[in-house]
Amino acid sequence: MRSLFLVSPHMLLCLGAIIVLVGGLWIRNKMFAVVSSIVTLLGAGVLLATMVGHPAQDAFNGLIVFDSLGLFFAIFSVIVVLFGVLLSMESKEIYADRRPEYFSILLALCTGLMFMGVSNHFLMLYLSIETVSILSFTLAGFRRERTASVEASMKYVVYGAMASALMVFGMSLVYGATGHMDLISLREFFSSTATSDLPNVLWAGVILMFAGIGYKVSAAPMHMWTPDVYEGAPTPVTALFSVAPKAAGFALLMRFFITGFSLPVQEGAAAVAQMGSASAISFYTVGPVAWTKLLMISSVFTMFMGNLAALGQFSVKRILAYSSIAHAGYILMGATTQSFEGLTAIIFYLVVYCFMNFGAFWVTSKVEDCFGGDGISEFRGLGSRKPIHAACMAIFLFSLVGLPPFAGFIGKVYLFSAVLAREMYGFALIAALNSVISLFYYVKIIRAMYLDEAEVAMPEGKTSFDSRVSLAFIVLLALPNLVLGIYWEPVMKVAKNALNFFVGM
Amino acid sequence: MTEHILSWIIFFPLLGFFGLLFVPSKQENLIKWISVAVTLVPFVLALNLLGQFDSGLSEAQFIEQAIWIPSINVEYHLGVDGISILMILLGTMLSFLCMFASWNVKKFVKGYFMMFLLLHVGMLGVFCALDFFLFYVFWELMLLPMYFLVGIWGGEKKEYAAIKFFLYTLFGSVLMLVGMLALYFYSRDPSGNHLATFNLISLASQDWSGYTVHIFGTDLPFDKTVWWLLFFGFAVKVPIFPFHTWLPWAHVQAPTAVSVILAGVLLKMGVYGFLRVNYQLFPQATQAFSYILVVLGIINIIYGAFCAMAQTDLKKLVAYSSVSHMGYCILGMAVFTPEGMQGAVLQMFNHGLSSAMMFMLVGVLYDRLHHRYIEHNGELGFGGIAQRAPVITAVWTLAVFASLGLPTLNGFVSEALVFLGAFPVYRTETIIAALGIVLTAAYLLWMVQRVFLGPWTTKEKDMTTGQLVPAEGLAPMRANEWAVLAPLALLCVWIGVYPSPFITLMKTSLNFLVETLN
Repeated sequence: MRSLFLVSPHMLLCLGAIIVLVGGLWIRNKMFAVVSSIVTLLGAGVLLATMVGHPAQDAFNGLIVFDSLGLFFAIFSVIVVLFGVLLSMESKEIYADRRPEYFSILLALCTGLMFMGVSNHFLMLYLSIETVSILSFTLAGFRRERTASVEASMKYVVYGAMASALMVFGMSLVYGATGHMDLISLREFFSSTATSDLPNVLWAGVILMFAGIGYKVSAAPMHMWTPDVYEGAPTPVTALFSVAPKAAGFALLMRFFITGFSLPVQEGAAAVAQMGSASAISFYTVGPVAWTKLLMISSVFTMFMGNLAALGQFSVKRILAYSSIAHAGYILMGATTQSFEGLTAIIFYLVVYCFMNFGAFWVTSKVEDCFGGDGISEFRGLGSRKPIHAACMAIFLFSLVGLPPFAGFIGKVYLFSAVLAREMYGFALIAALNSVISLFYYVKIIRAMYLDEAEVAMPEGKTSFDSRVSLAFIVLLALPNLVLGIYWEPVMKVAKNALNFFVGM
Repeated sequence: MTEHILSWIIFFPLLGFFGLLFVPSKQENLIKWISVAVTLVPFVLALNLLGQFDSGLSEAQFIEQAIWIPSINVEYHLGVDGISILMILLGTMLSFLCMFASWNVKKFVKGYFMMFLLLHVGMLGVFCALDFFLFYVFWELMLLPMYFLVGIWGGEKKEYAAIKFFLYTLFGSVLMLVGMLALYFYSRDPSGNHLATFNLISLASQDWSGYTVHIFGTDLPFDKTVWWLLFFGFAVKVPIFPFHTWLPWAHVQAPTAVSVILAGVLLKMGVYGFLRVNYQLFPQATQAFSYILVVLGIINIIYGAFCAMAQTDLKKLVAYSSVSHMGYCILGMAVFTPEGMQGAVLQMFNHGLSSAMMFMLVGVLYDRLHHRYIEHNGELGFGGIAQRAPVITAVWTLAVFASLGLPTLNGFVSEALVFLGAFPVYRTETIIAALGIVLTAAYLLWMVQRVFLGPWTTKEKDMTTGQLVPAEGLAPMRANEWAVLAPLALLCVWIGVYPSPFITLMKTSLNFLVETLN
């Protein structure tokens, strides 16, 4: 019973998904699906909020654990999916007659995302990733009359199948070598067994499992699907993909590597004095696999791949897709540090990233709805045509570059400082230079908006820009980018609290 | 207002920025006058600050200190000392004057002035900040308005110039960011506990030698490594050869007022950054690398002068003269003598005056003739202006003489001080650098000869055909142009004749700095 109580938000979402789907057969009102999705998500959010502050509990015999980290990512997923619902409601790409199916999938996706954050067992890990993946394939191909959308879905399926196959294979290797599927017992096994007694096949197992997780966060070399899927999928779906599964993927990655493959070092009083704060918890790797090296290599490749490939793109959605790859690289930096600072930096960055990336996609969605394309040429002259939209887009983009006084800068500062606290200077320098490269392609969009003359004629009559709801939300997403760049203490507190009852500690 | 005078100086333009949001963009005159008023206040406050400034103290005054972000000890910490007081005066004055220089901006007037006010915030913030984090935020804050000012209101190649400026500066600043964070993690109090601070004053009191950092498999001394990381950040801004290539582009493509601010204030930030951070935090590393700075300074002087001589575009000539003149600042501050240091800081101020005048005057000619070619297709683009526009010629000549260091004008004082300070330390090098004065005179006087003397051959650009056609004459200087040039010209003469009040302001702080360095 206790376990069932813990997953009540998940069950509520499933119930909501069924109601939206079945109810949609009879109720023809256009707003039915939207309103019931929003109500369901808010309900799940309230249920989750009541669980805040409790110590960690495990459910279903350790398949899942409800700790502060899982709870944080569950709430985060609900909020992002809520944004997704609102953006989809406003978008022309989600046709009114397909709304019930669409919103029902969104709710189910949210359930999968919430499970990703709390899985503590290989089985749950795999199931939650698969739930999210299969729903994502459907969402990516939702505009089935458009070739690009179908192509995106197909590519996603092929890559997804490959990644899960690799992951399952990796799990079997790890299980074969250790006899454990549960992350906590895995760690205990590692700490009680001499490393020399463990077979080298664990390396292969961990690398293959990282392939599965890396696919979700689009880390190199598992990033190839990202640009095509992001470009082909309907823009609201892309916006969602770029934030929600990525964040859940990072939750899973943190849990997998920190809970499964590291032990905390409780440093002595002298060390605490050295580091200057009580949160000076860091971890050391248990088991034979030097996974931090693995993550570091992947992080560097991811940054370079994303940033360099984005330079030559002309579709804004593709640019943002590559930028989201690059950002996965930055966020991975936090995980390589194996420290409390690094993990808080990841969480902080994901919060900020949600605002800036979702905002950028929201504006892109409006542009695409209005002009029928998402190329740089459609953005030309936006600065004088739609000053508020353009100004917000500029804020999102500068925040993505990581320039003060925007929130993206603070996120980068925390990531860099976590890396520097571990004395990885070369790594920090590479990341810093990467943000210079990224400036070039972000500014390409800004330049099109402000420096170039309009190219594509504005359609007659009412356009997607006239929607007041959208404008309000774009401004609402832009505000945190400014405010958190100047005063970010509360969000930092939230990030630290998310790690308070982290089982890995 | 006097209690938080520095905050008012920095953030008053921000009030104007938000105020302008609510002014309809058709009310162009109202926007311009609001901007004048909004920049006048910081200027008056800066004059007031100058009156209250105690030049007998070496440490920072008018301190404002508050905790900004407790979890990582970021402080809102402002203060002024002898190094920054003149820069604050220069920054507020030039911003105020630039409002008049921007009077004939036609496109998106509201956006232009809003960006200018934002730039003002960043500029003054850099000169007042005593917390490295705050310093960095202000430092980067300038990039955005500058990008738009060059990119939207600039000349034909504005996009290229704007992005080049942006990329170069960001390259320098991210290295500075890494250096800044490294300092944060290595900061210790005297008993060896981790201090975790960005406070520049406490960072400066620490001895940084003895730590090592591990980069790409090699152990490097901490202080020298961070010194170089910071060096790149500031060197791009100065700009020091070979990081100067953004400058001719940005200066030439920017609208007149923005060129004035760029040359007048933004370049000074690089030198100021060296003095504030590299010099005060790492005196030993600075000592170790001083010869490199001397050499780079001389390269800047000589190379910049030769480049200027080769230019056929009047604005590019002035831009390269900036590279050359900033070389004197680098040379002066690299020799660690009180005279050299005073010369360097005074040269910053003087160059701010004379280059601002020159850019303004290029704008005066450009507004009337719509071109800047000294020579074009083998023919003179100007020529004989002295005959038909003697007043413009007179002001031009004053600016040229101020720039080339004619005695009784400001440039002479600071250059003489630099050489006076440098000669006892580096004899041969100083003699080579002194050749720069001859070269400066050569390219400037040659320019005067081709542009202002000789028979009237001045052409104007026909706006419809784009061809150069013979011009009739030049309209006299307008009131807004006088408003910019007259105060600058007066200051040039004042410093040339009676520089000691200005030197007194900075003397104590600089002497203290020289003592720590030696």
